[in-house]
Amino acid sequence: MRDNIPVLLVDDDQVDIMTVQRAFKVNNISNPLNIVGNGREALDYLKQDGKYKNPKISPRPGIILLDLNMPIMNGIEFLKIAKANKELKKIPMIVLTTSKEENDRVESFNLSVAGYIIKPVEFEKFVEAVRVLNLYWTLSELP
Amino acid sequence: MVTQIKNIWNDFVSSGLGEEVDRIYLRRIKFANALSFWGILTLLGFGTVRMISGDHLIGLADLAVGGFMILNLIVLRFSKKVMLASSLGTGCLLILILFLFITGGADRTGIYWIYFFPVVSFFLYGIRGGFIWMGILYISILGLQVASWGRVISLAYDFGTTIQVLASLLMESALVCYYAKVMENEEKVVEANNLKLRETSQIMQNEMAQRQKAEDELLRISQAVRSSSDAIAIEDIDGTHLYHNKAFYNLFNFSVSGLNAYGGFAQLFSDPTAGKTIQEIVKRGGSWTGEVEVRRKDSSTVQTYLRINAIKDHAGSTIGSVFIYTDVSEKKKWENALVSSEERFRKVIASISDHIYMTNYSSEGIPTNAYVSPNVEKLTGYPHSRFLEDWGFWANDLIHPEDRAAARVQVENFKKGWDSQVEYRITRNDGESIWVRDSGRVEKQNGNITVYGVVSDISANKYQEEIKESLLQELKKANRELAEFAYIVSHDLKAPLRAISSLAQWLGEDYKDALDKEGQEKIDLLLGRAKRMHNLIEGVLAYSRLGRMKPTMSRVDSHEETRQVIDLLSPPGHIKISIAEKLPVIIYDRIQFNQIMQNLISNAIKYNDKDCGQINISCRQSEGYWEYLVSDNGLGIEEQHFDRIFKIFQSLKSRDEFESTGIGLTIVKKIVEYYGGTIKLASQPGRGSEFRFTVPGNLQPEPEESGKQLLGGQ
Repeated sequence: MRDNIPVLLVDDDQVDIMTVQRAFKVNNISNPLNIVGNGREALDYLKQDGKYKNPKISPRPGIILLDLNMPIMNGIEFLKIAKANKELKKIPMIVLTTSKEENDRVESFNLSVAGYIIKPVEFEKFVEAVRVLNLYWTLSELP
Repeated sequence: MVTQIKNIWNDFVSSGLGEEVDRIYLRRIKFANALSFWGILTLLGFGTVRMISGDHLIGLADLAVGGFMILNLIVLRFSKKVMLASSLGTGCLLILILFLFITGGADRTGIYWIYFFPVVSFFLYGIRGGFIWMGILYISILGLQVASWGRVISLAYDFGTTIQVLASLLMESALVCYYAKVMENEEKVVEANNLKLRETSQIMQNEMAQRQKAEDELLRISQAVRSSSDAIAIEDIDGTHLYHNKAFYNLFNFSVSGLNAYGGFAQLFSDPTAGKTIQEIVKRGGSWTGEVEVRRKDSSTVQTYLRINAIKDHAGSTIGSVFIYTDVSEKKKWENALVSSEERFRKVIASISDHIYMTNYSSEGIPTNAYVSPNVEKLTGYPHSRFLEDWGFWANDLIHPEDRAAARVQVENFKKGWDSQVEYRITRNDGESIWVRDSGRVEKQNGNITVYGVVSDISANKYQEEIKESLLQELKKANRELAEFAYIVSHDLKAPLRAISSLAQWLGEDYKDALDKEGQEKIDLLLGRAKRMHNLIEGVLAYSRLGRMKPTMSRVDSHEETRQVIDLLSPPGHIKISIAEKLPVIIYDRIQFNQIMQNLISNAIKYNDKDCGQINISCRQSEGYWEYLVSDNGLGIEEQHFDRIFKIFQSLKSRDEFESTGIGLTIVKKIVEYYGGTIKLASQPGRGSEFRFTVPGNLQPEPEESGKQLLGGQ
C-alpha cells in the first residue's frame, strides 16, 4: 500500500489475524501491520493512550481493517465513536467481516466506511481479496 | 136524488170545517149553519112578504140581514175563518134585534128574533161566549131604553114590554145555557172517547211496526244461520232432525230427511254412548258444550266443538234444541303442531348450556321478562322464578358492580332498537364471578320492543384467550430468539469453521514435505467437509431469512428474470436450456422469484447425467393463476421420494457424489406456498423430472410511494 503507511488491524480472532498476516506475506505487502483485539483497544491505540504511547511502536495508521464481531466494543460501536471524532474520521476504515447481515452492511456504510469485504472461506480467495485491496490503496490517494 | 140532496146538505152544514178544526166545534158549527139556513129562508120570506104588503122598512131590513147572512155563509165556506164568520153572523142578528126594537117591525112580531139570540150565542160560543154575547145584548137594549128616556131616540116598545121581553129572554137563556152545558159535557165525553180511540189505534200501529221489525230480525237471523260457517241444526226432543244450514250439510253430507232415515241426530256421534248422553240432554232441555268426534255420511270422522242449547216456547217448556258444530280438526292439528314445536323448543333450550331470554320494553322503556329459560338456574345458581318475576334482579344484583355501566349501555341500546352484545361478569349464588357474553337481537313492533337474547358462559373462553395470548407472546419471543440465533450461527459458527479451513490449508502448505500422500488426502477431505458445513450454515441462514424478510411486491418480467438467472448459472456446454415461449409479467417479489428459478434450474443442471442435457422452461395460464414448468431429461426421482426432497437437509444422492445442502427445494416450496401457490413434481427415474409451481394471479403490487422509498428517493 502507498508509502508503506501503517495498517491497523482490529480483530480478536487469532486465526483471522494469521490469515491477514499470511495474505500480506503472500502478496508481498510490506506495510507495517499493527494489531488490536477490539474497538476499545483500537480507540486507545489511536489516541495513543496507555501502552500505545510510543509512536514508534504504535504509529498512527493510514488505513484501518475492522472486524465487526468483537468482545468489549464491537466494530459498529467503534465506528460510531471514531466517525464522530474530527481527526479519526479521516482515516479510511475498511470492514472485514464474516457477517452477511444486511443491517451490519447498511449501518457500516451509514458510518462512512471505505469498504465492506466479506471474508471468503477459502484462503486463496482471501489472498485475492487482499491483493485487490492493496492495489486499490496503492492507487488511491490518502488524506 | 135523495142521496144527492143529503150530500149537498151535509156539504153545506160542514162548511168551514177544515181538517184541523177542533172536533168540539163540529156540532156547533153544523148547528149554526143549519140555523143560518133557516134564518136566511125566514128572513128572505118575511122580507119579500113585507115589501109586497108595503111595510118597506122592515122588509128591507129582513132582506138586508138575510143577504148579510148569505154573505156570511159564503165567507165561512171559502175563508174557513169560523170565528170571524160566526161573529159577523151573531153581530148581524144583534143589530137586527136592536133595529126591530127601534122600529117595532111588522105587527111587532120582529121582536121575536130576540129569542134566537141565546140559542145562537150559547150553542155557537159555548157557556162563556154565550154569557158575553147575552151581556152585550142586555146592555145594548138597556142602553136603548136609557136613550129613549133621554128622548134621543124613540123605541117601538114601551118599558114594560121591554122588561117582559128581557125577563122571558133571561128564562130562555137559562134553559139554553143548561142544554149547552149538557151538550158540552157530552162533547167532552165523545172527545175523550175519540182520544182513547186514537191512542188505541196508535198502540196498534206501534205493535204492527214492532211485529214487522221482529219479522225482519227473524229474517236476518235465519239468513245468518243459513250462511254461518258453523254447522247449525235444530233437533226435536224426540230425536227428530228438523232443520240444518248449509254448513251442516257440507260437514255431514246429510239432508234433513236423509238424517232422519239414518236414525236421527244421535247417529252422528262416533261414540254411541256420547250420542245417547246428548240425546238425554236434549230430552231434558239442558245445554251442553264440549269437543266431540262426529261421523260423516261416508263414515269419516271429524273433531268438532259442539254447543247445544234448548229452545223453549213462551210457556217455558222445551220444544227442541239448537246444535252448533264447529269443525276444529284443523285447529286441533295446529294445536298439536304447536305443542310438539313448543316441546321441541323446550328440549333444544334445555340441551344447550346457554341461557336464553326474551324481554319486552314498553313504549315508556320499562322492561319486563317475557321468557327466561330454565338454564338460568344452571348459570347463576338462583331459582328460575326470581328472574321471571323481577327483571331488575339480573341487572341490579347479579351483574358485577364494575360491569354494570357496560350492561346499562346495552339496555340503552336495546331501548333505541339496536342489537347489542356485551361481555360482563355476574356473581353466582355461590359467590363465584363468571364472565358471560350477553347478546340480544331487537325486534320492534308498534312502538314496543322485544329483545331476544342469549347469555353464554365465556369464563372458559376467557381462560383460553389468556392462554392463547401468553402462547402468542412466547411464540413471538421464540421467533425473536430464532432470528438472533440465526445471526449467532452466521458469525459464531462460521468464524471457527473458516479458521479450521484456513489452518488445514496452511498445514498442507507449510508441512508439505513432512506429509505423505495419505496425509495430504486427509487434509483435502478435511477442507471439503469444512466447505460442506459452511454451505449447510449458509442454507439454514437463507431459509431462516425467508421468514424474516418482508417481501416487496412488484411487477416482475419473469421472462427477463429467468434469462438472467440462466446467465448467472452459466450452464456447462452439454446442457441446453430453452425458454419455450414468452413468460408472463407477474406480481411477485423479484428476488424470491429469482431464488425459485435459480434453485430449480441449478438442480436440473446438477442432476443431469445425459450427454446432451435438455432443460425446458415454460408457463401456462389457468383459471386464477400462472403455472410454471421446469422440466429436464436428467436423473429423475422415484415417486416414493417426492415428498422427501422438499424437506430440509434431505438429499437423495450422496453428498460426496453431488455436493448439496438439501435446502434449495425447501426454500422453493416455502416461497411458493407463502404466496398461495403450490409446487408439484412429476418424474420418471432415468428419464427426467418436471417441477410445476403456481403463482396466483390476484397478488397486489405495493403502492408506488414505498417503491420510490426503496429506490432511495424521498
